[in-house]
Amino acid sequence: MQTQSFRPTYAGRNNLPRTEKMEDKTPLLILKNLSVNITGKKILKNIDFTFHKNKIYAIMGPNGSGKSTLAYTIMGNPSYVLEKNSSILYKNKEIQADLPDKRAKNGIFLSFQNPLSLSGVNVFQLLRLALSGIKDPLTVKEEIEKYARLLKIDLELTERSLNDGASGGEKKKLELLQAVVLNPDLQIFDEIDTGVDVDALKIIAGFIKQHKHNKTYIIITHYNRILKYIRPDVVMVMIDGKIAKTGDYRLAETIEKKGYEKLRTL
Amino acid sequence: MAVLIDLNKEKADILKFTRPGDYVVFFHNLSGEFTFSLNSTGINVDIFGLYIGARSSDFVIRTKQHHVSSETTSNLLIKGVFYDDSRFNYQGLIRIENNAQKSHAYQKNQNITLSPNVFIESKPYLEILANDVFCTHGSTTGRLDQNQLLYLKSRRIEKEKAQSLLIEGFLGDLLRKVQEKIPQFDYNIKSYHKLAD
Amino acid sequence: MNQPNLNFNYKYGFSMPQKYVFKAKKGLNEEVVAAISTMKKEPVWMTEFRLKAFGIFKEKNMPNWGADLSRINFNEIFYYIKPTNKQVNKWENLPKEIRETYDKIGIPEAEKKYLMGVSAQYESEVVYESVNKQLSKQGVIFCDMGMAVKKYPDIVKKYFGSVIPASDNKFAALNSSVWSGGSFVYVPKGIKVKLPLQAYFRINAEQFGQFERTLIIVEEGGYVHYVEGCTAPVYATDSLHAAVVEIIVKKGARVRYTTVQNWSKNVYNLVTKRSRVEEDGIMEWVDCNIGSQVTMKYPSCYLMGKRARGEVLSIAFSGKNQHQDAGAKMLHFAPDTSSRIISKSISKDGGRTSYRGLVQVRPGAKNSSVYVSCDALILDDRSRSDTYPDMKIKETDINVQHEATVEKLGEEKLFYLSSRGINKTESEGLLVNGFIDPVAKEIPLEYAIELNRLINLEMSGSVG
Repeated sequence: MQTQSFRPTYAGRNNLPRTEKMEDKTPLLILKNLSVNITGKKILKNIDFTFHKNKIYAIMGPNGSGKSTLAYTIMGNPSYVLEKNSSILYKNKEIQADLPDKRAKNGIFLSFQNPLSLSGVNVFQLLRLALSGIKDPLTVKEEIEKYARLLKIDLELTERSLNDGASGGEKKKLELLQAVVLNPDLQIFDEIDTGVDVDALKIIAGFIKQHKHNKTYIIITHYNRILKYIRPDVVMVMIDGKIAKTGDYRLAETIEKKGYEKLRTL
Repeated sequence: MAVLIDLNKEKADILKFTRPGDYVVFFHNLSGEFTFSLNSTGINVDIFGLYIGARSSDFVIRTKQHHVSSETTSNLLIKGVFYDDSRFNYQGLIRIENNAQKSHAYQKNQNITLSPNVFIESKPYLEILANDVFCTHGSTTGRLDQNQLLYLKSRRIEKEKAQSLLIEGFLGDLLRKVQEKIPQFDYNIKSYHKLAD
Repeated sequence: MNQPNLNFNYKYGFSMPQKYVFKAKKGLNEEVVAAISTMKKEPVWMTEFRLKAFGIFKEKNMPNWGADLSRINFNEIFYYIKPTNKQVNKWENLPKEIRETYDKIGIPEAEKKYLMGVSAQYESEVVYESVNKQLSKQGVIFCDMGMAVKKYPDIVKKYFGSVIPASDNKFAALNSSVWSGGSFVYVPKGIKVKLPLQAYFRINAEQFGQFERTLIIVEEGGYVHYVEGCTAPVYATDSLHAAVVEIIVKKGARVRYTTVQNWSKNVYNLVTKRSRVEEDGIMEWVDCNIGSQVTMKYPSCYLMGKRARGEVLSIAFSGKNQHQDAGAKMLHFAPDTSSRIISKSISKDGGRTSYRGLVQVRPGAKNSSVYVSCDALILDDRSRSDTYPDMKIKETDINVQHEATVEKLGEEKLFYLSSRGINKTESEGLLVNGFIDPVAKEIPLEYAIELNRLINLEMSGSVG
């Protein structure tokens, strides 16, 4: 019998079939029968899906398909109402009743689609507070400076009120900065490629790729721009609050060419 | 369809709104004390007041936007232009009671003074006893925008004409806002404003 | 027990040999007023001033607006108490919440004791000495108001009561008759005092006097920054504080007066603060009100000369059973004058904050501009926020702008912070500190840090 030796899977790089041993498929986040209502309207409809450790997931779909809602639900937005029998398991524990800060402390991170401005609060104050007891303030400061340089964020921006007067690209980079300093296991990026110019996108994508070791990524994208730089292991397409189709990176390419219409379930 | 209440004709000083819906209140050169009480969920009241003070006219007006029920909205806009020795005394209270949660209230008073003998007193008051609300008010008093005047003059429009153009634009803007909600409303500024002599 | 150091007292003009211990008596009448003046060995003109003011106090009515002052009983108050009796002189006698707050906001042991009047005045003496050495080189005078009356009668006589006459309001009249303690600052022409003058630099056991009277005079082109108060709660056994602060800003001079008030929650804090600003002068009030049961305070600027500028930056925080009724007054008398009022208030746990402001543009104040911005946060459904601005304009060619907003902390923002792993209480604290930041950043650093910590404490409900 041929023993299959473990090979690091560089997704699609050498066009060889991927070898997947049992250890590679550890479930990290499981969505069971997930239905979510916002102000009485059902947005997510009975979603069942398992996200495995250290994989890169792309979620695509037309406007209104529920992509962002899914991201916010995983993060725990308190104004979203989960229907009975919906459950979210993270690292084998049910988290649907947990507050967002508890989920964050357990390793979930969401990069917001439209990061808010927080007047009078800068990124250092935020991260220092978030990491109090975990990293000392000096380390936090040094890391912020280090990653700001790598992401080509003007240091002055880190000293100002968060996102105050920042461009689309700068706001998304500041989200990424927070992600890398907080160092969570599961990182969800809600349209990190929207409203961002080509140069910024290259930096963001490069950075995400560089730091993917031991991380699970869920990349929500509308225009699929980021997928040109990062190849996902799994692509999930959402339409009308449901998962319409899943596949590998080639599914993204198909959609690029043919659009979503063909995938709409009748 | 919004309901129009012409306060100059109505002669009521307490307007109690009890049915959900959109309401528009309009008054012109009116003095008095008026309370707008929002007593049911789902009420939206827009209040517009237009003032043109000339010679020795003296206006004293008090309004109260009183939010008693939750999820109500009120929006008040009073604009005035004052010449000669006219006087304008406005006190506007927005009061949001403790169980009028999720209400929004706005109030704006804009006054243009065109003579050094004009006297304006503006007191936009807020009393907010609920927390899940949003409330803002603003009051500005001053002369015509000098930059706008300059612009018109640079287009060879002489000072007097430029001034009246800006004034009519300033007041006309309010009338148009009313007309947007009440299509049959007469928003012709000439019906209200004759050039002061 | 805490005995005043006799030598020290003599040196600084507190000529009160031990045998003449003033018997503290409740209530107020001409006798008490005269006795106060005598005890202080004041010149006749000051005694007369006090007695006249007392006459006015008797006649004046209580204000019929503002906070509820019905519980003040003038007959139950001690109007002159030996300084050493006023401070709680044992650490253990302090209320538990106060002691805990000191600990939580990290005030070092020595300072704690000093604030309680327990420590030997030695430490502060040393600081005062060195500060004064620098100042006297520049001709700057900084001393206790009582001393100034005796040492610099000409200047004091000229300006005392010139900005706030006794007839101004009932509490100004009260202060004018029984005042004790407070600061006197005189800055000569062209002198810019680099070091912010702090109230606790001046040696006087009556640090936190009931009826402090402060007079600051800055001559042409001068500059000074005066800082009063502290963020640590000051425990006062007396419950009525009626202070008066008069500031004269001469041509081209600039004065900044910063107050951080955190009186214990049994105090009625009623203060009249006013400044007269001459041509090209600038007056900046930075006013922070966190403590006391009731505060009524409206720092004012009378803009008398061309191009004079006034500014009030204020923060008010009301928790359980508190009512901060604060604001500002700007009176424009001359052309090309400008003023700015920025007010940030927060109410929580049933507290009530009221912004009360007056802007007056008088005839002749052509080309003046005014900008007022009041923002309020109401943190729960038991609390209340009011805004009562009053604008009286009698001039054209001016620009007066006022805007106010009342709201709660944004849900989206709270969720954002939560998604970073910050719990609800800490998120609220962070947002509230961010909210007051435009004003807080004008406060000297060490106070600002303590202020932030204090707000966080108040937010978490762990302060009484």
